[in-house]
Amino acid sequence: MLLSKNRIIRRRAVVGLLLAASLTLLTLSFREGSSGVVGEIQRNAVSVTAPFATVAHRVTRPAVDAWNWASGLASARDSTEQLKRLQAQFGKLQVIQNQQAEEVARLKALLHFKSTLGQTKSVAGQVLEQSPTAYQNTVTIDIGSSAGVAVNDPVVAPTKESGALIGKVVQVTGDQAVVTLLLDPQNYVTAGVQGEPNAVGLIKAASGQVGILSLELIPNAVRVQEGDIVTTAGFKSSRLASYYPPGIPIGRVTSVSGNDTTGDTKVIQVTPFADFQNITDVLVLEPRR
Amino acid sequence: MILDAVKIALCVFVLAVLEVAATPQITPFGGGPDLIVILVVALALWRGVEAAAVAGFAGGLLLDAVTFEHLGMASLVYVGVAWAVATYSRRREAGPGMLEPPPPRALPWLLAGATAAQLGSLVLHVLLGDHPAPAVLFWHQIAPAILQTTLIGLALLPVLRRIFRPPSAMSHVPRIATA
Repeated sequence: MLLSKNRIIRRRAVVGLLLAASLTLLTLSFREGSSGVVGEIQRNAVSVTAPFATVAHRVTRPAVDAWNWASGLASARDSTEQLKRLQAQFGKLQVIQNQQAEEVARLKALLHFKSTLGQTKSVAGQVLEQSPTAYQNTVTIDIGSSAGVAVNDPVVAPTKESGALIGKVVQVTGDQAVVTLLLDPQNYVTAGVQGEPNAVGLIKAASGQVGILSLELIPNAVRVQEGDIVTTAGFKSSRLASYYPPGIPIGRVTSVSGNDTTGDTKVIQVTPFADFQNITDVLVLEPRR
Repeated sequence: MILDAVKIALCVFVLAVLEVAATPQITPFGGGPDLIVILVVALALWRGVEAAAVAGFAGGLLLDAVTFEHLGMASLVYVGVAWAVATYSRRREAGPGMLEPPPPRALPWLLAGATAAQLGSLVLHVLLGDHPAPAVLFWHQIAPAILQTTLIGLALLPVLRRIFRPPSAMSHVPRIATA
């Protein structure tokens, strides 16, 4: 009986201590942000796990590509029977060929986009880790300060046509960087509608819809319609300058409506060009260096 | 004891790396499978609350660190899950001279643990000032995460059972010295 009582006390002590440690870390994390000891721990953890994440990424890459290929076919043809027939017909070889073709297309698109950047310098990298929950929209990439990456550098990813903005760098270690995606509610970008010089506002994640952006602060008088292309505006004043160079594609306008709360601005929904679920290659721009 | 600690540390590291490096890319609806909670539930059932809580704390810390989430959030949730599963799954304890009751079935407890982890995480995020849309969150995080965790648990639990095989009931019977 005494043994059992001791055991219960020990269990409660262990759980209590761990809960207290978690709460202490949480408090410290909120108070210090990413600058103090907690930020240092996180940067070190990213450095330690990065090589293993690279291995895991490479090992699982064929499976992921096969999955993407299969799900892409399914959504494109909307027919499970056709998918099964094709899979049986082409088998593994076809999956590998498709994987290689997709990779070539991705890299070609990235090169093409890089050539359109003009004077803006850029560094190419690959995604190592991705936040596993919908609460947080970050990816970790395999290039860091040693490659010239700095906090607030804009990051783009290749799309079918060229490239599109996906977010900005928020943390940097020697060989890795953490990128906050545009889908993060804390991420705002000055953006405009192509061909409409007065249509400049802020683009951010649309609340209540996954994977959709919302362009705000566009006056009702400005003409914006479905299908218009939204790009970064890249403003520059005497004291302030946007982190994002102008003209980087963000997405396409999919709906325009009036704002119910203020009445004098539009609510514009934008579908991003980038597929945030499947980011593999990225370009980090260095517009200020 | 030391071997157990090494095995737990390795499992925590491998599952945490897989959770951030591999699974988010093959999750079409958003929330990915929670591999750490599978380990926490398995340890809570087969190794007791201390091992599960320590694994949950370490796994949560590692996940929070590499995803730049606030440190301690996932740890808090996993330690809570470890305690809840270990406490409620073993309502009876063997008395002196009695055989240990067999460990309960893992899958229902994994489902409960995954649900508790998702709800705990939601509560923490709301308390800390995030206000995600409930419908979006349910369909793109909570539901897919629970479903995928349970499905992956079907494959992972037998592997973990091999690694952390529960002690057989006979090992708890005291030996009687014979003349």
